[in-house]
Amino acid sequence: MIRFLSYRLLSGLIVIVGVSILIFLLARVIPGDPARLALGPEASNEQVEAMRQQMGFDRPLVEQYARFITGAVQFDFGRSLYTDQPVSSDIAAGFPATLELVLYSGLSMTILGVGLGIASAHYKDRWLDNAARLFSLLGVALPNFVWALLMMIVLAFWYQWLPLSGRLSEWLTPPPHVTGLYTLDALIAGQWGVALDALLHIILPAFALSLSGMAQISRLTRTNMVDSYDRPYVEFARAYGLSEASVAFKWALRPALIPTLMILGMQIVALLGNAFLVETIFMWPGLAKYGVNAIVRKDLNAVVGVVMVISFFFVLVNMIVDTVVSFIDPKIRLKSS
Amino acid sequence: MTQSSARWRGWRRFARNKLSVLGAVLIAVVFFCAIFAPYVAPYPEHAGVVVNFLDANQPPGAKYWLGTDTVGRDVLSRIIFGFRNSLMLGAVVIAISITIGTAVGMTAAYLGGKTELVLMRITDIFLAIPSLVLAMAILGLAKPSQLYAMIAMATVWWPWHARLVYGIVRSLKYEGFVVAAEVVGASPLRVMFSELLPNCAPNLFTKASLDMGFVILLGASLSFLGMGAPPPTPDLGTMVSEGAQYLPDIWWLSVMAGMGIFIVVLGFNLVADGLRDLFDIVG
Amino acid sequence: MKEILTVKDLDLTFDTLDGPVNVLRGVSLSVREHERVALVGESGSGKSVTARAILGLLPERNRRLTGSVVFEGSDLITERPSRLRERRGRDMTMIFQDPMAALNPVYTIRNQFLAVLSRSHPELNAEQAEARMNKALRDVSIVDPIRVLDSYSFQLSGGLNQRVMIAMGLISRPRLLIADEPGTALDVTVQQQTLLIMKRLSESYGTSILFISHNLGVVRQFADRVCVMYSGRIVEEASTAELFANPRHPYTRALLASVPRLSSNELPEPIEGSVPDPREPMKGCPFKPRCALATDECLQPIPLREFGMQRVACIHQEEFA
Repeated sequence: MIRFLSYRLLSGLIVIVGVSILIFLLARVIPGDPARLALGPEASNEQVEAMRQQMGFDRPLVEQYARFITGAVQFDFGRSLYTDQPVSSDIAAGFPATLELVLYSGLSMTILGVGLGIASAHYKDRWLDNAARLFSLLGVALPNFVWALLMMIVLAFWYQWLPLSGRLSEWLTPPPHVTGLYTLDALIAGQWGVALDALLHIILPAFALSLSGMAQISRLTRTNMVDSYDRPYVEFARAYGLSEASVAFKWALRPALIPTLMILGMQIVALLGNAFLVETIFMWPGLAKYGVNAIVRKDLNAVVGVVMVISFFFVLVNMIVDTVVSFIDPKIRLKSS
Repeated sequence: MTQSSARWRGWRRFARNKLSVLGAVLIAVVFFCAIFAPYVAPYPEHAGVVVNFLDANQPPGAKYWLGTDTVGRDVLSRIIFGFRNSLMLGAVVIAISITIGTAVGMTAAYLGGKTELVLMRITDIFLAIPSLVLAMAILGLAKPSQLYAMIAMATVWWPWHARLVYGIVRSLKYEGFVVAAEVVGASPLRVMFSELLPNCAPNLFTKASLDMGFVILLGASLSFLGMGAPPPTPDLGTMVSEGAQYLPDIWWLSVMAGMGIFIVVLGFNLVADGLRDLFDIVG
Repeated sequence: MKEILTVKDLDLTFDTLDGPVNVLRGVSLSVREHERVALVGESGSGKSVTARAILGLLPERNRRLTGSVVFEGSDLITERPSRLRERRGRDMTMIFQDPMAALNPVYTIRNQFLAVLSRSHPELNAEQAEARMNKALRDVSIVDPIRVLDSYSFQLSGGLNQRVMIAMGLISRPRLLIADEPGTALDVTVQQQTLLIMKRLSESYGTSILFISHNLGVVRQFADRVCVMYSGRIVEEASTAELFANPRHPYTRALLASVPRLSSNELPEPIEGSVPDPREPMKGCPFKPRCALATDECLQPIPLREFGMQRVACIHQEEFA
């Protein structure tokens, strides 16, 4: 078991280092002349040259990378060209918002996706199953930003049930900072009104973000459940008079969940990437929105910082998911020990 | 059952599956629009630079079936040209991606050893960054343009193909027909081309059709975020984002463009599902 | 001896995408107390389906079932599903062909055994249950029951899994145990062991067994009575001794002739032709196309005729009298 884990950790580490090299190279190769970009077209050549030196672009590539990686490990990505703040503090500011969004989205995707999948398998080929199939086609094919816009139109504009943007209504102040997750912090502080408001604000973006993943998970769960239902061990359970509920939720579900879990993990991780679109539409002040702005403004350090942080979490969550799956599947767990 | 009658059964199954047929129809429509865009679109000139303020912001009606945008261009025509754009983008990206991915995956799997380790690690590294993020990073660091968009997307996509081919070749490596070729003295290159490649083809083909949908989706996402082709090129994603600012009053721009994306992606997804069934029977 | 299971005129049709498929065409058989009855036939004869029909394990939809299955006085077909479910796993149990596949791969044996045990003995606490399970496993000659209980099915050998299933099948001391091809998935020697265990336990618990097999050797050793099934119908029924000494139905004779025997120098003869397609409606005797004695009268519905303790569905019996 220890060997298994440490192998995973080592792999992950190598990958992260690789990612840092890749990003570093991309950031050096593509932009052409970041110094000129930073200063603008009017700057004189001397100024550009000076800036170059200041940014360290005249040094050999390897040395530049060494500087970069030492900084990155200490969570220092330099200063943002736009906000003039250290990139790391900008990232730290936006992170909890994105985390909250991804968390709620992941929950929604798991509960609704798996639930819908189980129901579809149980009522196979009846109206529920077909409706679910339609929903998942829509969920996958319709881009999530279009979904988000549609939902905005219906729920926020026409019916005014849910707020349009941001994390909190303008007239409210955020709750005292404990975790950075407004819904949680408000509950901890006992500010029920604030908690409710924050919750209402997060429903739409979280749901929109979870849609395509939810669609895929529900299909996958259905397939795995149907497959499980066909297996001899389900017939065995029925032959011994176990109730249908027991068969569905205990006997057939667990073996079906295992393959689903892996993909579920991947989908949750994919949320990190897709958050960019949703945060932009709903003006969610998170990491992703910061990243989009940075890219549009060609804020080099910020772009690099955001990509590194997101990739780091991507790899981390992947590793966690892998480990969890290995624990749950007795075949893998026992064979590796 | 002979090979050809199995294939016939497969096609019949494809035809019987209503969804696959629907998908094929959708794709056919899209392709038709794309190829014959200048003839199909009611206002082909609106795909370019046109300023028609008199007719700006018209809701869907008799003159402009899907309405007009903020500078008076016909939404329907732009969507039709947008299809052309998307398909071209998708095709090029997938072509590049399959080429690179197959080369990497096959080489890694067949040659094994250090080569395998290094190549697959590199693949893992590319996969460690979320697709959208990587594409945005590449595009963002460069100038937004069609060419760079294609390069960025191909860079994001090739690892998936590499993985797929890697898996297939790894399981085929020790099969009889491969060993036979080696024994006869075929060079590794030859073995890869004439023996291994044809075996990857059905899988790659199915994946390519599924990929088309997702690549187009990725492209639309990128242009929605402002990193697509610069104006006035008609691009579905850009149209959605242009229209987003004017919601909910001028809804038709975003919604119609969104539907356009939906039709394309749905069509490819349905066909891909059907193809999977088809190849399951034959292969 | 009293009959505990009486199946009469069981007729089952499935509505499939290819049309209606008549898999059971009027099956009748019975099992008495302390009896071991074998249901023999080739693949596709309908024997597995019969077992499932008896237990009520058929899929709910797209099927039509007529006839009666009387178990301990009540007709299982007309009974309420909940009542039927209650009796399953308690008064009537089943063991399956592939024991490793029949056990859930993600739960320990203990977990599954507990689920089964609670069907017949819900009142036991954890300790008592553990003791019961331990004893049950020792009764099937498992020497380290605790290790087995802690394991998963894929960690145990086929033979062990099979014995675990037998233990589960008999723990409620059911009146009837249905065994679907017991030991088929196992090594021949292990199969022997398993069957001996089944025999011993069923005798001491007073459990009747209905077992399904295509293996005549096993049947001969193990069964008191044999029902031969062909294409959804019982074509012959007799005591084991009678059947092997004096097979009457042409199919039975052909079946016996097709089994290789160590004691004889003759080569086994395969039966010509193949099993009829259950999708086609059938008139008269299903074996007619392959039968050497077939005549036009065989197109009429054939009744089961009695010859002493034997029953045969063939009109050409005078030839063998």
